Amino acid sequence: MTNRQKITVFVITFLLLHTTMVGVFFIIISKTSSLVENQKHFESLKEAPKFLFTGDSHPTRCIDEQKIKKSFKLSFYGENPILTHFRLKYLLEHLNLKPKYIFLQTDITRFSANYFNRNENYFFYGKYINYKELLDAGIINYDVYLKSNLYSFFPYIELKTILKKNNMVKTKKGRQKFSDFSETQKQTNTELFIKHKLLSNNPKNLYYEDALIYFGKTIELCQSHQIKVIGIKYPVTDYYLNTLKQFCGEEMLNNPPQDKILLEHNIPIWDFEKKYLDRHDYFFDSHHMNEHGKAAFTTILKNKIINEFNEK
Amino acid sequence: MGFNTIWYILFLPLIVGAYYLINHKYRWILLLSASYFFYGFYEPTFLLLMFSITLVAYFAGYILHNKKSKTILILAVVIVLSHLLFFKYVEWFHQIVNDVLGLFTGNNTTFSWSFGSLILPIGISFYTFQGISYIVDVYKERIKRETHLGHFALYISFFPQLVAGPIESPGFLIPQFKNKVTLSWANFSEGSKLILLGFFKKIVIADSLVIFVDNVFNRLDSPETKGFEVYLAIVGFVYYVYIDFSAYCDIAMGSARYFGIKLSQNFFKPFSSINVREFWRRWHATLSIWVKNYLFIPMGGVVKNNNLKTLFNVLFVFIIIGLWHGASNNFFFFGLIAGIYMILDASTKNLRYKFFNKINFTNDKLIPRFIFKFVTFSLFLSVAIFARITDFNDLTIIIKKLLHFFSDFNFKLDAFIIVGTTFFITEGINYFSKNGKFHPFDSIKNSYFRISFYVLLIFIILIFSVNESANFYYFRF
Repeated sequence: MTNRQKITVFVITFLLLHTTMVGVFFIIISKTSSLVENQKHFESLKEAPKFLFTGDSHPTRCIDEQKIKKSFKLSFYGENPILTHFRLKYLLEHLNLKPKYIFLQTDITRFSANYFNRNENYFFYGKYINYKELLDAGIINYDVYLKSNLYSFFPYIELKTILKKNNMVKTKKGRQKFSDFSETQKQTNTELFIKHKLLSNNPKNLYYEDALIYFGKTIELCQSHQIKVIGIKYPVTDYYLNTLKQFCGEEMLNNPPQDKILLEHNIPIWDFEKKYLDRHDYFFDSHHMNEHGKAAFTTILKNKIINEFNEK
Repeated sequence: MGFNTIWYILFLPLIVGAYYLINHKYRWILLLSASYFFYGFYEPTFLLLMFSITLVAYFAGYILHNKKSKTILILAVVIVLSHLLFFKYVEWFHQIVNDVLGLFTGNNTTFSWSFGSLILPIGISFYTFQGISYIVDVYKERIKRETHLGHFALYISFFPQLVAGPIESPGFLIPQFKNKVTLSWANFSEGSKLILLGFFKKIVIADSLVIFVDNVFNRLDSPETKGFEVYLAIVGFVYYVYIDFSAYCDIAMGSARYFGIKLSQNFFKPFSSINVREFWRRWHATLSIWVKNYLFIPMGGVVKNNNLKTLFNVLFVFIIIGLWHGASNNFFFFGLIAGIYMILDASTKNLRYKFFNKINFTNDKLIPRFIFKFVTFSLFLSVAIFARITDFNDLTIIIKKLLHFFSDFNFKLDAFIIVGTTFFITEGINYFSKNGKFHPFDSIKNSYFRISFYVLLIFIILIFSVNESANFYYFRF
């Protein structure tokens, strides 16, 4: 085989496999990704929901939106405030589906840097995010910017994470109880998550400034569309808060900047953070609710909505 | 600029393209500018260090060529070495002084100074050694002094091997910069295959393995972590370092090949070694050769009829190897223990040879060979662990857990699969390599299948590149 032929075979094989991989990738995600499914579901709604819940795995695990009338849960694992901002922006500016109330998650660890640095679901968020804007604002560096472009050419790079994430979504963790863990397991589990994952060993990462800026922008975006915003803090265990205290200090936990932002915009906060501190049977780890917790919390939330908005 | 970044993927073809477009006479300017850009990408101020080492070594060579003076030689080596000593060892030295003084005064902060927070310039351990090689080789008249400052500067800074070696001798590398290279299929093909293999090893194997290793070491003190998992994590760590570093070397060699330059092989299937001496010839070979040529032999090497002096020389050299890897007590013990094993190996060589011959247990047989390999590997595990632990408390925990390996046995299937798969892939690659050199891919004779296999590897690499790729392990040295 001549060198020219070798190059031709290489290019043809590459293009063939690339096309196949792109096709397979989009088939897989359209069938298995709950993120895509969730978005598709929302876009297919004929009428805008009255209550829209946004955020990361906390609302995803806490709320059973089927039980709350006229509500929709547009949240996903690891979705940080910047991603939520762009997703909402697209929703409000390009779809004619404007909810009356938007619940923005304001948990204590909602704004940690680690969550923004996670490179996940480019294939999905890439459609909504203006990476150039983030680059110009200094929120992302050229590495991430280039990566976002690379991921648009080779979306299947994310195949591994998406399959893993889908598995995670499907895992029956919902039945597990944190109360069944030994004290050591509880402590190790919580510490590992907070130290190594959430804050990456830097307590300053608890309130990531850029995430807070975009949180403010999201509030302004909603208000510019005459949508009422409600800040909501989802329940966590005492293990979670105590470990955070040990790591960041009480001072840092007592003055969350997101509360200040909400206050500046006259936005109410529904604070359920300490609602089930010692109900370890309601959680499957230190900060994610299990099925029992979900049912209990949804009832509480539902009643609160009924009371506040006369929603029957 | 790391090899495993998008920047490098863009940078390399750009430089290769420009290299073949310009006249041979000016290519050194392109390579030198590219190398400085590559290095300055990490931290531009580090370039000052590199300029300093380059100029000192170059002018020392100039003087030594005209006047063979031992004083100039020592002075030049000390100046070059001082860059490394200052940035790498000053903090450690500070700590040792305080600890020693603390022993007498009962106060840990008896002696203090501050240089601010010193950052170790990437690659300094490698290019400092190259600078020393040049000075010594000119003094010993192994090579003629390099008159072209540009070519010499390129020898110190050549970007493919700048950050983590291989440590090249000037007599091998500098003449290659002068060769008139034309664009050839052989260079392109060899280079691409090496880079492909390097990326596969780094992104698919090493970056996946390190997640498991770090996970176990992060929860070492947890009662859930048992001896079996700890043992696998140590094996995993050793494989990780090997794969990661050899991947770096593959990419370095492949990148250099695009410019028609051959770099030295650093690894020769080290885990196939049947004794400690052989192991150090196969593991990070260019460092072993450097240490032998520029430290061990000048110190006297193996001194006949003076076992004590030989013993001292070996121990000293291994401690230096240990400390070269990092300025900490851990690496001191890394070197010390490796040195002790080396001495034990060399001193019992004849005895073992006679004994094993007598019982017909020789390494030309499968089982004895396997056992010798396993023992050598296990000895290296006990050395390498010092490179991974953060403090000696970790070591105590590891020993305790390993002592309860059987009594508190807990089989972890996922850990076993990760380490087992790594083992089979790595040893598979080694098996298909020819004489430890390269070309596991060339075992596929049919061109269509071979090319399809390359494409498949690219896709596997792309899919695995979703993991945040860690820096190459040896960058820290």
